[in-house]
Amino acid sequence: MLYINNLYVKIHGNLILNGINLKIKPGEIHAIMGPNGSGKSTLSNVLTGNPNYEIVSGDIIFEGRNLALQNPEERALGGIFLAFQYPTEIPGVSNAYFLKAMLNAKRKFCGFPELDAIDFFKIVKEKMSILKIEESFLQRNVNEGFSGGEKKKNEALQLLLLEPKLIILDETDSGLDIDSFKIVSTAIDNLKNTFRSFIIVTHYQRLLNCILPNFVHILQNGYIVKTGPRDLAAELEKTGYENSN
Amino acid sequence: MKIRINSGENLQIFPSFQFGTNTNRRIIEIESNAQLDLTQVNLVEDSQEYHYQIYLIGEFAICNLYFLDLTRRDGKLKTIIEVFHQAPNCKSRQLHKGIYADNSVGILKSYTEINNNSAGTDSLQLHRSILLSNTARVYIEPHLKIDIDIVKCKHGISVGKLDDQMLFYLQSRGLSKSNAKRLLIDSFEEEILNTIKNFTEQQSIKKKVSLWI
Repeated sequence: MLYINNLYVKIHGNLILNGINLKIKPGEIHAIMGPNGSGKSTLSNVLTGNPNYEIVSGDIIFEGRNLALQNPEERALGGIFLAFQYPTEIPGVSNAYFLKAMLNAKRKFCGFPELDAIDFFKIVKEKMSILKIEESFLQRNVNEGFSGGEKKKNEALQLLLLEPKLIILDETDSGLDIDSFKIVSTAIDNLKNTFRSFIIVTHYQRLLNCILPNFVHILQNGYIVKTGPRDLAAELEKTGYENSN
Repeated sequence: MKIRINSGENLQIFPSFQFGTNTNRRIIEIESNAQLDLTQVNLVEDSQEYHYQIYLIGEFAICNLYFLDLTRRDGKLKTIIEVFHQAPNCKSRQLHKGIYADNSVGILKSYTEINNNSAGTDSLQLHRSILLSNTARVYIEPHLKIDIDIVKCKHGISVGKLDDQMLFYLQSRGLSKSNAKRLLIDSFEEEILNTIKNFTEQQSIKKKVSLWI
């Protein structure tokens, strides 16, 4: 599904990723752990086409297509979804309007008719009930004035609506209280199937206890220094990154 | 043109799109307990100028002024808005938004004067502008002249481009760049356009505005 070969990426002239190699097959769950500044969020952003990040060399191939040639919306419509660590606030744009536009863009791309307001609300309310989100959520502006937990729930709601093929969770577990964490992680866990893959960027094991990864990668200084089974995450929590090489 | 709003009356003025090429000056006097709600939308691609002088002459007079300027091509729009508080306990609200595309230019002079007979004044001036190209320009000059102490008076200005981070967020959810820009522009305009109370007229103007830029 995803093939990353010897990827070098810089931002504002600084080289952040120094030769990443990663292969992800359909249905696999990969966790990426690493100290702050190791390049985890850069990897997430470059996969989704953030224009601030420049690919210096290397390849990113997703389902046979070269991602470097695709703009962010083409990647999204093709099935890549990044749940942001810090979701952007968009004052003046209601959540309902945004979610409907997002869902209809996807439906149009897939050759389905666009949803009218009635059908959209039916679908979105069903997804909101899974995440235990109140209806007033839809009338608020996108992420504006949301708590950290509400922002993460909004990302999860988009995830449930779009049902993407490759889900990248960039520290989705941070900023969630215990109850919200359970709700969000259960919703994400329900998306697991043999066709859908995950990249889970996290500092902590608790999300990995819910969404069991097939592989854990340790990212340091812009490249993967170690790959192991899910036990590696538990080991890291005991020993820290210093002793991980 | 001169208009006087008599005591206790409420006047609503809705948008107009054509002002012609000459200066259009409107003088509006508001008596006690009277209210003016004015929404003006300007779609400009030539050279235009408009000038409002609002006089709050009776106690508890209110004026709510909403302006949306959208200029494109080589359009040049000069706007002068003057609000004179001349009686106690009056309230003025001024929200001006502008979107400037291509090589167009916006010039806004906004003046609020609160004289020494205007204790209890509550006044707000807000100007928000978006430049859609590197060659579009906007010049904003806010002025406040306050001759008395017991007043509430606020003002604020912002000028910027469409936020790259917001565009990326929307694109990352599958919206094309042009649709993402449209969404952000629509949301910027919405605050002004929603002040048009007649729904049919509001929808008609929204349609015209969305086709303009």
